Amino acid sequence: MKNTIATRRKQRKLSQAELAQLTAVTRQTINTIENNKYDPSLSLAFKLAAILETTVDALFSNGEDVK
Amino acid sequence: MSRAKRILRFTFWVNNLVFLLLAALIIVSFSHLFYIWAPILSLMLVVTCVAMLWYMQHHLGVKSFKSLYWVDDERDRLITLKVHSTVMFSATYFLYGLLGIICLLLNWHLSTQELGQTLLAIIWLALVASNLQYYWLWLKYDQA
Repeated sequence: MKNTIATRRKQRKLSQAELAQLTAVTRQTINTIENNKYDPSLSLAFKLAAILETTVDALFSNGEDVK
Repeated sequence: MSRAKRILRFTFWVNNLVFLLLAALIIVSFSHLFYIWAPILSLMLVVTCVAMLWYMQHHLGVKSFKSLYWVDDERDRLITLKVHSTVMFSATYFLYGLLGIICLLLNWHLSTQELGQTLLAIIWLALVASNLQYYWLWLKYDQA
């Protein structure tokens, strides 16, 4: 599963550590999600979408690059 | 390094120390030095365990030791559950193997002491291997 978390996070001038704190996970978890090594749970995906002011649909895609 | 990884690394090395002390205790239990060394080694084991708990509470931020106390988020939990599952499979296979080994040993006409020593050595090796497997699997799944 691919995502645009890194791009959207940088647009909002957030570091991985800050995003991790906002979503109550570790920085390593954010890093592995951004690098497509870990697929987050649905609740974490919704949290990320809310913080990055987008929808889960726009944030994640199944295999193809999302815009 | 995440808190879970620091706790895991610390417990891995302390477990190794505990296994060394246990090995020494097993060895002296079969010698005439048992009554001198057994209390000293037992005390060292207790001190090591108490020091480990103290260090984890004061330096690694562990507030309670309930179930998966080292887990900080869903990814840590997923890794831990995968590791536990694999280690439990290994432990089950070890028990099957131990049954076979005991059957073999019984046919070798060993004395009770020899049988006890052999079984203790096998169980000790299994514990050390289990500790190594746990640590190695955690690092493997953490990097994946």
